[in-house]
Amino acid sequence: LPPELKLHILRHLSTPDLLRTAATSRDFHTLTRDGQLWSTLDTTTYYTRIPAAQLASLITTAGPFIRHLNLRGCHQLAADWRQDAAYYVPHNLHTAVLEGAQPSKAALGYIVHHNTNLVRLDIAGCRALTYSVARLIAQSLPALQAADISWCTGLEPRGLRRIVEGCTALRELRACGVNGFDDTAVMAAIHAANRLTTLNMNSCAALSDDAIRTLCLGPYHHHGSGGAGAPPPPRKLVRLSVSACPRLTDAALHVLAAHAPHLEGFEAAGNTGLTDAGLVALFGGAKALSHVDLEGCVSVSDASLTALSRAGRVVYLNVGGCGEVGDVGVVDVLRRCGGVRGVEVDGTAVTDRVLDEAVRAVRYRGVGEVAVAVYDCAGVTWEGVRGVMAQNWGGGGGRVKVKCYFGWQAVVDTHWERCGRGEVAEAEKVERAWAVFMGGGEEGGRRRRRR
Amino acid sequence: MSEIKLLSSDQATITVQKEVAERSILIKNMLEDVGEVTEAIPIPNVNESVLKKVIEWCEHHKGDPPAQADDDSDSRKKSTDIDEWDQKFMQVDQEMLFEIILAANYLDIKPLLDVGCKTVANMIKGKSPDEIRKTFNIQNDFTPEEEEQIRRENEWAEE
Repeated sequence: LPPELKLHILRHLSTPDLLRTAATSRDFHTLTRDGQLWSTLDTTTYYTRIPAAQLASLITTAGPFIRHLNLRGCHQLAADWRQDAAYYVPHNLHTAVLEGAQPSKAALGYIVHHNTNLVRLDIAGCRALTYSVARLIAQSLPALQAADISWCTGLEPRGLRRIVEGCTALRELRACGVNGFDDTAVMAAIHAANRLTTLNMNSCAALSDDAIRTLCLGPYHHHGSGGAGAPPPPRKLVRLSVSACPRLTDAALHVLAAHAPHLEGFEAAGNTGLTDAGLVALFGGAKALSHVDLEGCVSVSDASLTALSRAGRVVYLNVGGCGEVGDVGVVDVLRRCGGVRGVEVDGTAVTDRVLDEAVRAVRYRGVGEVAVAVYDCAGVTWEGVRGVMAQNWGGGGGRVKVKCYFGWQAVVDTHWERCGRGEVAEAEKVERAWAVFMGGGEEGGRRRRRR
Repeated sequence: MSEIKLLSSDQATITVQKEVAERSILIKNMLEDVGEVTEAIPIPNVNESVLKKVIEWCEHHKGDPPAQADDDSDSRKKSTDIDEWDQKFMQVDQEMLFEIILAANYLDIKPLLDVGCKTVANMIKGKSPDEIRKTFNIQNDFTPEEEEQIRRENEWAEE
């Protein structure tokens, strides 16, 4: 075969396969150095195996050709300071995933300064992100659209502000556990730019209602109570994550309800300060919400879920551990949202009614498959689970994937797999045997097994 | 349904539906340039047995939607998944496999070229350099020293 066709074949090989091919002959050794084979260097499948020196040599050789570099978890590079030099070779990067690779401050600065086409930068947990590097990011990366700077605890609020102001293409900012979101200047900068569609502030413990107010209304909202001036344009936010931000209360939700109408994803797990009053308001204002995670928000009850169900958009809902949630709200969600794919209601007060409703959704309302987590629910009995199994092997329409009490899960999983393979008779056998085991055939139906 | 004739390198004439033959961009462009043709189109680089095999593939795939514009070569197609029919189709001896790849390249049938290349890539996957040499009859022309050095550098990449 001519070389260009050989290259066509080599393009389908992973890096380890490519290196083994290179070791066969001089001809292939030369051929595998062709730049077009190295536009992506993704260490996902071998980052634990490759020694620092070899990895550095790969980066150095392929460097000028690499457009997508993924070094997630390659801490061997940081462990051997001599290999830091490899970071100085790539200068055509569009994507750089350096989470866990811990480049030195000089190396990170160099990458940022010399890869001005970067679109995606993931440096979660990077100790080298300080104010001066943040300033460099703001100055050098006009094309940057997505940044993950989660757990970069060395970053000061003014550095965060620089990034928000300087990177004019930035749409997605993931910054879990970062300091500065309680800083008025930072929030005012995000407000003024109104560019972000994704903002992840999980575990930013200092995040307050007031910060959310600044985010939505700008820095002068305190004086604006009299209604002076026009209201700010709606926020562009589509996905907002504020899980584990304990200071947030309903006041923040009221503000979001009025100013973030495009929200589709809202994560606020573990925020015990949020109650139905705020959530009902939010769900009334943000009618596009499809992915909602309120796990562990213990004050949430059915009223919130009923309000959420009204727009009919829910795809995924997590209210695990919300003890006040019961059948009414969850059934509303399952009944009104035709696109629902998963509800996690573990540790709530729901009963078999929820499983029955899930069965109805897949049987009559065209929901293809829905996953329901009902473990740690005292009100769910094996009768309800059995109803789901009956649907999965016998009923028309879609299927329900249940995660229930761990003692039953093995049976449910086996049944699910057999149904999936079309082994209906086998599946029925599993279900029958289980019924007998659970306590004397049909009689057993009366018995309530609880955790 | 109009038909056209193709003339293989070993002078065999093969009649084929125009629609099927037009899976080949080369033939398609040729037909567009000359309009209606009655005599056989010569395909000088491809012999009869290979041409028949290629046409078999084109017939099976004649209804396929046109290949999507390569969404940037970035999303480098590491995936070597091949659909079942194609896998069976490619179960031929190595010489034929390379002939098909060459023909697909010459006739400009990109999806067939891809399937062929993926098939070869799958034959390389997971093999040691020695096994690859044996499979494809590659001559090892490294000096022992070079080979030792490469082996040391690649130690981590061994399965």
